[in-house]
Order: sequence, then C-alpha cells, then structure tokens
Amino acid sequence: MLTVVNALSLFLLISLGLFYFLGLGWLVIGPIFHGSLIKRKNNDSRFIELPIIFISGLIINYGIVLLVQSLKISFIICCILAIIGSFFYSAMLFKTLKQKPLSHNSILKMFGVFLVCGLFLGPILFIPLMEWDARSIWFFHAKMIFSAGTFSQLTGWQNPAVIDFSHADYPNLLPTMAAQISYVMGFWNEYLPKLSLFFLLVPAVSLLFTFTKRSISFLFLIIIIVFSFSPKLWDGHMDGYLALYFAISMLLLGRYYKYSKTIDLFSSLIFLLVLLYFKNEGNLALISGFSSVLFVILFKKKSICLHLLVRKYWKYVAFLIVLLLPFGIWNIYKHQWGLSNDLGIGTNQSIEQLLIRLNDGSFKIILENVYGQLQNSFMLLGFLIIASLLFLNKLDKEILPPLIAAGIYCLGMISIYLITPLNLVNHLNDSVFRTMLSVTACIYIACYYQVVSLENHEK
Amino acid sequence: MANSLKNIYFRFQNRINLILIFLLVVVFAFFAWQLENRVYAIFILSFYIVALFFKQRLHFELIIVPIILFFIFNTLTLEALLLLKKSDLPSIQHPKAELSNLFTPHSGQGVLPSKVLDMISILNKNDVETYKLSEKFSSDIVIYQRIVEGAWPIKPDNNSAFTLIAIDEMDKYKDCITIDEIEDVVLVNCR
Repeated sequence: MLTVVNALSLFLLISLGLFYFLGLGWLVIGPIFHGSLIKRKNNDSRFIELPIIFISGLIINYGIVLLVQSLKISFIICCILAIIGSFFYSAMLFKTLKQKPLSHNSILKMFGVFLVCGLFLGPILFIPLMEWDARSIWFFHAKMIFSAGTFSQLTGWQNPAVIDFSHADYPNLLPTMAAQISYVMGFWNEYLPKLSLFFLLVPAVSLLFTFTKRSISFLFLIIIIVFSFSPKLWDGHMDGYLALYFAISMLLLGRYYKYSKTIDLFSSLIFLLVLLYFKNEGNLALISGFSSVLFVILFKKKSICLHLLVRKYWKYVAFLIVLLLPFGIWNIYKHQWGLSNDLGIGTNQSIEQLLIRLNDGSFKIILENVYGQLQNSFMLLGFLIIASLLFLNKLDKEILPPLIAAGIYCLGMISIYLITPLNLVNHLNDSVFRTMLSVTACIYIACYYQVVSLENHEK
Repeated sequence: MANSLKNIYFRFQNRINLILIFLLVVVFAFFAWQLENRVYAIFILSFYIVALFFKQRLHFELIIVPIILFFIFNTLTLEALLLLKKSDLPSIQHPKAELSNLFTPHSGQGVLPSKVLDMISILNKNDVETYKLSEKFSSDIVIYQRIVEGAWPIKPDNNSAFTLIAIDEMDKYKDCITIDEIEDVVLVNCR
C-alpha cells in the first residue's frame, strides 16, 4: 500500500512540476508569440514552443525566488501564477486540439520524449548523490537554501567553510529548484532533490525531438547528444547540462542558418541564455554562442539588417532582456554579500600568471590535456569531412556555427587554465574532462549536420 | 593568365579535387600518427582509397559502419546504456525499496564515509548547533567537505565551543570536557 502511495506521490510531483513550469512560462510566452493567452496566432509547431515555455518557466521561477527570497512566499506567488498560466495553456490547447488534432507524427514525438526521459528517471531518482561537485556545490547549495527557508544572506553563503570549497558565487537555478522540491515534501534526503535534474532534461529532450525523422541521422543525434555523456546528466554535475543546452542551441542555430525560421533563432538564444544560470562557464558559453549567432546573422545569404530585426521582433528582444534579470539580481547579491570567484579573472595576479605559464611551457600541458579530451570528436569530424568532400564535393554551411562556438569556448577555457591560481595539473585533472564536454558536444553537432547531408544525398 | 588557370581547373576539376582531398587526408593521417593515434591514421588513409572505388555513387553503409564502431569504441554510450539498464530494470521490477528511499527523510546518507556518519550522528545526538573540526579532520579534504555538507544545517564555526576530534588527538585536548564518543570520533567542549 505504501509503495502505491509513494508511486502516486512521485507521479503527482512530476506532473504538477511539469505543469508548474509550463504555466509560469506560458504567462509570458503566450502574449509574446501569439498576443494572447488563449488564442494561437502563430503557425509554428506546438512542439517546438513547449521547451521554450518550459525554460522560460524555469528562469521565471528562479527570478521570483531571488526577488522574494523567502521560499514559502515565492512558492505561493509562483503557484498562483502557475495555476493561472496552466489554466490558460490548457484552454489554448483544448481549443487548438479541437481545430487541429494531434498528428500521428506528434504522437510519435511525444512517445519518444516520454521514453527517453523515462529512461533517465531511474538513475536520476534512484541513485543517491555521490559525485564530488554534486555534493559539495550544487546540492549543498540546495540544502542550504532549504534549511534556511530563504535565498538570502541568512542562507549561509558567507560561512568560511562554504566560501572555502563550495563556490558560493556559482549560479543557483538548479539548487533553487532542488530546494523547492524538498520544501514541498518537507524534508531533505539524497534522492528526491535530484528530481530537479529531470526538469532540466525534459525541455532539452523535447527540443531534440523537433528534429525527428525516420532516419539514421536522427538516431545519431539522439545517441551522440543524449546518451554519449549521459552519466553526466544524472549524477548531479551541471557540466552535462551545460554541454547539452549549448549543443542544442548550436543545433537550432544551424537549422536557422538553413531554413531562416525566427523561432529557431529565438529558441537558440533562449537555450544560450539559460546557460548563465547553470554554471559560471555559462558566461563563456554565452559569449561563444552569441559570436556564432552574430556570424549567422551577418553571413546569411538573405542578409538581415540588425536594427530591422530588433524593430520587427522587439517583443522577443525585450523578453530576452527580461530573462537576464535574475542574472543581474544574483550579481547584485554577490556584490553585496562579498562573494567572488576564486579564479580572480582580470586581476593583476591573473595576468602575471598568464605570462608565467606562457613562458614556462605550461600551455603545452594544457593543450595535451585538452587534445586528450577532444581527440574522439576530432576523429569523427575529420572522417565525416573527408567523406563529405569525397562524395558530395562540399561541406555544409550548418557546421560553421557549432564549430565557431566550440572554437571560441575552447580558447576561453584554455585561457582560464592559463590564469588559474590553483595548481595547474590538479586543476586540469579535476576538471578538463568536464569542461571540454561542451566543446565535444558542439563538434558532435557539426558531425550531425554532415551525417544529415550525406544521408540526404544518398536519398 | 587568370582565365587560363581557371580553364585548366575546370578541365581537371575532379582530379584536382581528389588530389586536394588526398593532401587533406595525408595531413590528418600525419597528425594522428604523430599524436600516437595510429589506428586512425591507417583508417583514414584506407577509407580514402576504398571510397575512391565507390566515388560514382555514395554508399551510406560505408559511413554508417565506422560511425557504429566509433560509438562502440570511442564514446561511453554502451557503458551508459548498461548503467541505465542496471538502474532502470530493478526499480521497475522491485520499486518498493527505491520508492521508499525517495520519500524517507535523510535517506541516502550511506554514501558518506563512515567516519562522517559517526560525526553527524554525534552532533545530532547532542543537539549541537555549531562545531569546529580538529586539525587532523580539517586537513583531510574528504572528511572536511563531507562533514560540512552532510551535517548542514549544523554549521562549522571556528568560534564554536564544540570540537570534533579523532580519538588519537585526545592528548591535545586535555583541557576540554568529553561530551560523547562514537568509534574513533570524539566530541569535546573546550569552553
């Protein structure tokens, strides 16, 4: 009997959680995309909207917690907003489903998302928190927020032990979500807060299924992006999610480069923006990704004038700026509470360190380590480039955005290793296999586009 | 001059392309060989030669087979799928224990080192709100980080009267009152 009650509680927690974020997101995305909360004007697929709504919901929820600080009050506010949003979303869905029922293809996509996410539910929920960063950083922050019942100075960010090893300056989107889950249940343990990882996985997998085709290339995409580094998606590290979202952003940018659909560009930007809330490396990923976006906008055949783009899509631009607010609030708090990064980027010491490492040959150690991590993706990319040149006599343009982003991100990470005040060898051993995951994922996206063009040529 | 070069290129376009691709393959193979990735160097050269026979029409199988091999040998996909199987199947067949863990307060702490579990137990038992660690425990990075996050909201505080020490450190804390002791962890009050 208890098992049935527990199973039902889990089912309710997941379903209500999904509706909670959808509801919050729809309150903003509905008016922006369709100018209404009930009517759909835009003809874009419902399926591609879903992850955007969900991610917006995640960021809005985090923003409200940051603003209100109290877990209880923020949760009440978010619940009210989510109920209103969910009601309107359901009404819109009911209305549009009447006019345009779900296609066979949509049902298959939903089943695919359900299956892939369901596969991950087991390791996410039934393996306790074990990994170092998960325990010492992400879920420790969650435990701190839950125990204090507030996201404020009282949380304990300034405790010397926390500052010592827990990177108190890291963004807290995941910890806030994990703390809220524990708050709802009223207790802390080492399993249930991990459900927050599942809520990050759902929009990413849903978006990947907008690329559904009955083809080898789609299978390639799912295996290489979701399964090839899947342990990093359930063990509580944020690096896996950083890589996944960064890769998806570049995937969408590639599709925008080819088909020029605004929703792809907008989704790509949202997937880039949310990286700011995952890890500090998200800042670098955002710069790299944004460089790719600029490249695409500037070099598209049908050139677009930037100010015309802003004038036409001002609502989208305004919304993207609003989504940056929690980042601003967190930075203000960090400044007020004296939380700073241990790398000391931009300080005189970091510049001195950079010069020393450039002169003493340390950069060779960095390059060796970085190459060691990227070797496999280079091999696959090299092979597919040769195959494309041999069989198609060309390389597809869609490979450029992910490669540009990967290149800039990689150079940025190398620079960070050059200035690190920590012992270089230890720092590399501890982190390079995680930090290079985003570069690898972007290279795999370039590989995916090559596989697509080789496959299309065969047909 | 430019026109004549253009004409020559268009006349021998296919051959020139093949030579350029061959040079690229050689560069890839050279670097792979230099970086001790000799299997790849041999593979990419062989692929080029084999692909020349299929050049008239793309045989997708020629690409699919290396990709499958890549998945098997160069990614963690298989290991990840095995881990998924190991975690998903038991939880579907016998969900009772897993679901119970999920909804039990403080479950899963068993992953912490036994010494840390003793420390948490001793702190809880004696209703301690803040504590500090002895020199021996502070210098052990595993113990230090795991006790700080594991015992939270009981907070580490250098001004606390309560100190967690190892049993072999008792000599250093002669002036303190022993509050409790589990295995080789001792809680002392040094006020």
